[in-house]
Amino acid sequence: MSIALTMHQLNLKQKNTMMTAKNMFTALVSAVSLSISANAADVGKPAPEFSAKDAKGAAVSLAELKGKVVVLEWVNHGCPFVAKHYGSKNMQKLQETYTAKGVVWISINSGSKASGSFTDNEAFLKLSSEKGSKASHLIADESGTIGKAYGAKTTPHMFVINKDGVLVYNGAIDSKKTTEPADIATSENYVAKALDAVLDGKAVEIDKTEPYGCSVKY
Amino acid sequence: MHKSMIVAIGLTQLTWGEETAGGHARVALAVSSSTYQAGKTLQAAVSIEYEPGWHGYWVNPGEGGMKTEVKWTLPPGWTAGPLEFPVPHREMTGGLSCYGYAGKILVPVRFTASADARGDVQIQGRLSWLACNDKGCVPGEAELHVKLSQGAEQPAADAEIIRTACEALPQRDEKIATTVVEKDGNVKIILTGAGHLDLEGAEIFPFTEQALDPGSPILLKKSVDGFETTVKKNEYAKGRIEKLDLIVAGPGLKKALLVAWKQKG
Repeated sequence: MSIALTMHQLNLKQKNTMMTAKNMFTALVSAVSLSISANAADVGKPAPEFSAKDAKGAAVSLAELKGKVVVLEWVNHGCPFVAKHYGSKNMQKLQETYTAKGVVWISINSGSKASGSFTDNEAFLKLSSEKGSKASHLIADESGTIGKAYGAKTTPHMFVINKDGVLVYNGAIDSKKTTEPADIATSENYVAKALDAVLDGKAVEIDKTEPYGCSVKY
Repeated sequence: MHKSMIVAIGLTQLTWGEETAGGHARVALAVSSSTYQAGKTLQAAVSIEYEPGWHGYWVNPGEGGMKTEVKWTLPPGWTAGPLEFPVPHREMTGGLSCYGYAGKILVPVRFTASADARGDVQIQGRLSWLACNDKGCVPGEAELHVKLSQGAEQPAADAEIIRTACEALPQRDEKIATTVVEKDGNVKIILTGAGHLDLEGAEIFPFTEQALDPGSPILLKKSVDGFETTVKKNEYAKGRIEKLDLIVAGPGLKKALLVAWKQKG
């Protein structure tokens, strides 16, 4: 993992403060040493803030989405577990159903060039369009900042955030840890259940499950 | 899709599965005898050879991954036992800890003929697995098949290596007692009665999913009571751990151990 991050990519809150080289290094080290197994995104707590440009160049920030229910979907179309849900149109149907209800759906690819799973904005847009994605935004999280803030481990890995910015679901899309599309019909879809509950002002019953999929290639 | 290289793996009288649909592995079904007897059990084994650089998964794949499964199509009244996987090893796929295999493995499986079985029969199976490397994962599927005829047992050419694979399977040791204690998000496992075995540095592989954290190797150390280890509880465990099925394997152990623990009351 490259530590040659530029000042621009550091996204520090103290951007406008004069920073010494030592401070920068410390911040850099703590940023890259954030383990993906740390409980970075706890259900019941405020979802980690992030802001980024989406693949069309629009600014997206979680803070500005307060008042909306937000879904984060970690994606990598080269992964057979993702292909299970896109090939069957399962993911696109979820995207369509829930964006129609005002949910903001953000598909994120946390992949670096070094890992080989980076997709640039143009490619991400083209691929998503070919798959019929109905996501509200696509974010190519090349530095992995958003992925690591959430502890995104697999593709897919799903997060649901309520209107107050609180994380209400973290985990798998559904209950069968396979690459077989035929399993979708007999699986429990945790994301749909969580969204139905949160849109209805109810508590999410199953708020944390073990995500399944290919490893996120930071 | 590319054809796997044909590699001599020591299976002689086997029936290779059809060309695999991806999956970076060559699979086959081997039998210890090409004849069966009505009502009796026949020892067989599934051979899986992963291409160099790729690995597959154990019944508890750990984080990510996917367990290898088979759907058998058997003659009427025949039954098949479970796939009996050899001792896995632990490795990282990207940032995820997994339990699985690289290279070639033999997975014993037993078939029991129906009491009224007669004549020539065919056993078929659809094996599905996942092979991964650091760059990605590819699912694999293949048909396994073998023809059997009725008759007295005649050891086939693969009988010997299948027997070796069976003997290497983890086995229970009735002398060993297990205690499991949960405290502060950690799980302490204590094995007593194992004084006759060298368990120092032996590694624990849990069959039971979502009980123990797979993030680090789970290694036993000698203690006052016997051998013990403390491991973080799996973050996806639902409430108290009610049972733990484990494999214990180590350099000091001639045979890997099977340990089964259940919560009392």
